[in-house]
Amino acid sequence: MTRPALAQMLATLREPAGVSERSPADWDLLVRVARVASLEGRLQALIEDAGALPDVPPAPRRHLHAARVLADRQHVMVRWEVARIHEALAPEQIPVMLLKGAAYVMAGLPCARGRQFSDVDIMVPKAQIQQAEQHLFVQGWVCEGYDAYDQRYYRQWMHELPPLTHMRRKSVLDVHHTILPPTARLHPDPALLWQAALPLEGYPGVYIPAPVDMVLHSATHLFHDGELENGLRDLADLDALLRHFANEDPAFWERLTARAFEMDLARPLFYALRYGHEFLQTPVPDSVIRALAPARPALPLLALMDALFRRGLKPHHWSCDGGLSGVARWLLYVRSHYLRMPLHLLVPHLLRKAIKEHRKGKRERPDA
Amino acid sequence: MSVFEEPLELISLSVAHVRAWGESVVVYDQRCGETHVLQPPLTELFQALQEGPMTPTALFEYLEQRYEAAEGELEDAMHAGLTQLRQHYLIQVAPESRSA
Amino acid sequence: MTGQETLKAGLRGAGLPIQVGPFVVRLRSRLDRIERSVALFYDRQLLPADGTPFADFHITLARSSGLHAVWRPQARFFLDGRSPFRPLPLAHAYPLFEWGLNWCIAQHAHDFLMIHAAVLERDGQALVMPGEPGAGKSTLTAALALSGWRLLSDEFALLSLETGRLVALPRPVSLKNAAIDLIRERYPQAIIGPSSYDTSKGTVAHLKPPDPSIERMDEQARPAWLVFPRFAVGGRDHLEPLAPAEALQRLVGSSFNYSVVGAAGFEAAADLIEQSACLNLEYADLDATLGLLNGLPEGGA
Repeated sequence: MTRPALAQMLATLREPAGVSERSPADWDLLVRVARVASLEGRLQALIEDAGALPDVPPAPRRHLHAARVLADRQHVMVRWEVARIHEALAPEQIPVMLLKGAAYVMAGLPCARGRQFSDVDIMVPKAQIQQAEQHLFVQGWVCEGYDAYDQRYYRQWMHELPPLTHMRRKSVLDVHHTILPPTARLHPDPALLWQAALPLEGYPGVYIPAPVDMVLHSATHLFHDGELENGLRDLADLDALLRHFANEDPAFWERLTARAFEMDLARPLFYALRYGHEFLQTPVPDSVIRALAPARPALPLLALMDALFRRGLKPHHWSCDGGLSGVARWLLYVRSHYLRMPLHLLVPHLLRKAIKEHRKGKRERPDA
Repeated sequence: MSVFEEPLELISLSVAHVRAWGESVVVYDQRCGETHVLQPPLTELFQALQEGPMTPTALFEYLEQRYEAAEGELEDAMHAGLTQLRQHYLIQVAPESRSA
Repeated sequence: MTGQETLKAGLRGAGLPIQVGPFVVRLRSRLDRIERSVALFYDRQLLPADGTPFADFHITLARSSGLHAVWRPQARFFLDGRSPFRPLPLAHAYPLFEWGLNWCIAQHAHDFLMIHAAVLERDGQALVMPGEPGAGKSTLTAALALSGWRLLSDEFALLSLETGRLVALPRPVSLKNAAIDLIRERYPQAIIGPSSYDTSKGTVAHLKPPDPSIERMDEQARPAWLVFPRFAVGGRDHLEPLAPAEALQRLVGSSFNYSVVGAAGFEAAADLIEQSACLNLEYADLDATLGLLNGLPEGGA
């Protein structure tokens, strides 16, 4: 069953020019769903680009505007952080690849407009990661607030240093050396990413992933690695990336599927295109669907994944929740960990996390 | 020529982001969101550089005309001030000299 | 239905819309204390439930569920189904609503530079008083609001990034400890709600904003005086000029969202400084200090 809140959200993402049809009561729900989905700023940008902002009544427009202010500020800060990272690592000849939001912003991609995000993610070659940590430390990035267990978890089993926080600016930096942890079941080769990476103009030594790799990384992060807190937001990123790159390069789709198999990431791409099309009508050529057939899961598994992702990708708002949403989210959470580490490591880890975790505020339908 | 002889310039700042209030100059740097409150003698350096790029030698001559201080003292103060402005990312080496 | 019944039905049903300055809050609660406090403090700000389709914040105050709650009843704050902070004892449900609403506004209203400050107005000119807790700001604010100044806000200044003027957010003024009786005695016309004991701030009671504060809620005010009060027992009541650069640093230090609004926030804050007389206030005696503030020369800087 499609619930009105979700349907409205998707319709607005797909056709921002159609906002004139929304009533104030529609907006009352839409703003709230967008808020929990971290899509308020993105909606503002889409509606603005469609020239339809005047069609939004002032009260909801103000909320969209405020989120846009926040997103724009975050982008300015990302540019500053990238310049500071460049300053710290370029003299040491440590190449830096920007990932996710930082790459979208610095590459000026349309999907960055209004996109809200918090951390900066970078990748450096594995052999230089410790050296990078030292030079970042000298410039004020420190690892704070992690106990010995967490530190070991990150360094040993995850693909990154523990998150670094800048002492003065309080910005958070995630330093990776691969896009999936070494313990994961999929093994994309970082060397391939480096070979195809594009230099970022004005920042010698700083790179952004090739378009195909940006899409594959985003898909992998969403369907293999993440906990789907912002699932719809990430799917909207993918949709925007795919539309943009396909428009720029006629050979893009062909390159993308070839690269997916080469990188061992065809399965996450399959999911990205399947649900992107389903939720946002991402235009996927038939030839791509055929080419990805070997990556399609067998039917019983696909039916299960459909059941999970169709629930998990919805905004985590009570108006979009169905009876099994909570269960689906929990299963996806366990799955993301299962895909990241072997079972004999996973079980103790989840137990420990469950014990340590402060009880989070439960999301309930607000019946007084 | 030493690195100290490259002309220095202020970063580009909107008029609305520089407020001279009494002895202080308040500067907002929108690239990083920081608000700097400059006090003398930093304000002297800042205001001199507002006229345009200057080499430290030219800057020193400019200051010398305005202040009666022992030469070594003034030079030390100037270099300390320039270091601070640099640490705040408010000045940079002027681009023409970088490409030269 | 009587007003009281409408209020109750709204709170227990689809939510009671309340106009709080530039925001519409849709509030739901089955708690008696919330109902009583809303009836007392917000009766002039209720909006028609049917004619108010859009609300800025959907807030619910509910009793905590669970075994623990049987022995120690607690109130929980929800913004649109999410509970961003810990529950408080049920007796503090109303202060929790006020505090939680501040949090909602601070998180979302980035069309303003939001400052932890009291704002009062006289002849269209605004007095902005940022102050640390314990600076005696609320007592002073209440006394000014009850003696001819219009209250725009007690502890939440909204400086419009569009107009550079102060926008009213009239809310009950929270009075602490000795200030409660002091205000009650000096101003018999003051309407003060029941006290909540043993909150993190001691005993708290709220003063209902005087009528002009609500009636003229839509009128913005031009900044004219920026005063930093400091309560000093046995001190000498006096105002002294404060360097604008320091005033700016302290003003933005009291802001909730200076780092979010970026250049627009700096420009608004710096313009406010340039339009205002910036002053430090040392305050010991209420009468003496009211005299000082009432005697502020017109026109600011």
